[in-house]
Amino acid sequence: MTPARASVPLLLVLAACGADDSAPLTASDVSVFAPPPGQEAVAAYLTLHNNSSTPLLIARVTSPEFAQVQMHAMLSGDGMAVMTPLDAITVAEDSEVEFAAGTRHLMLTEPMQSLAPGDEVTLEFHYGGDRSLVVQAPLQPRLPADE
Amino acid sequence: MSRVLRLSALVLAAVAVAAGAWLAARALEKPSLPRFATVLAEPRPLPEFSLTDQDNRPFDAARLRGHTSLLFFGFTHCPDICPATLAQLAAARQQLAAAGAELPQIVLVTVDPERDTPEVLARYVGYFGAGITGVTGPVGEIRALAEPLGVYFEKTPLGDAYTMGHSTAVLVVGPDVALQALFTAPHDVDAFVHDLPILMASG
Repeated sequence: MTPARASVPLLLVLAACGADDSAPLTASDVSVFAPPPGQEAVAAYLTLHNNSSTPLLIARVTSPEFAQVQMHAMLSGDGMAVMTPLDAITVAEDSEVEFAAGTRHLMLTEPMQSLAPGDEVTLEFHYGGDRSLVVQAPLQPRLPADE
Repeated sequence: MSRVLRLSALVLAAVAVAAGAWLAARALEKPSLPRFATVLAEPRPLPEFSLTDQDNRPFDAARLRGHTSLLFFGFTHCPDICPATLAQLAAARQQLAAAGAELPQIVLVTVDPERDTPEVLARYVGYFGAGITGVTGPVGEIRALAEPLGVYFEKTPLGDAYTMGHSTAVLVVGPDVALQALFTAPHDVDAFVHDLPILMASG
């Protein structure tokens, strides 16, 4: 099986109050990468958009497929990167925060069941008290498509 | 009839001029200098080192001599920049192969030998395709190789476990086993594909 390597388009974006273009928080460019053999940690990348006029605090991220989801920042200096957990992240008003390789990522560990490339992974971003943003994307390998 | 001939001559002349301009432009575009890598003014010879590859074979300077190698110091439990970089290097290698270019050897030197045994490395690097070697060994020996090259790493607590902070550059080691150039993060497949043939031609 050689699933496409290209960035996977967002398949589903739902706010807890219902799918809505005017939702305060939306996401784009979602990619969820399977770990290489022998490893457990799944990495997810995306861009979060705050469409509102107030800052939004993402207090935590959960997934029904994983027991643990952590937000990590890669702190860089002098060409050295150190992975550091983030307790929360704020998306400034009318702004966006990118999770991309080498900057920030979501690390998903302790899978609830065995997952294979192509399986859907769900991420739920909890913000603003009881609001949440749910996104889904298929698990994909990091490799070029024809390898 | 003569009008047709004149017109044909004009068309041929225009085509000739256009072809000449195109060839000249191509000649000017022909890459001669790396655009992305930092090239050392004086190549820096690697120190002596004695490590082990994923097949439990010795890995020392002799394994680097005679061809260009790309060294990346990382670890298999790294969820982010290590697999991303290896995937980019594998993609670049694939594109260079498709273009018929000379191919570099890709070497992942672990900064986490406590967890990255040869067996773990074998499964890991095999995932990224041919031409990738995983290397491990005593942490002191890895540090003795890394630090003279400006590569540093450290163990950092992460919850109940630990992670490794580490340099993220991709080092270009020439056939003479000297550090020739380096690519700094964020890495890009196109940068590798553009610069590597130039670096390898001059190495």
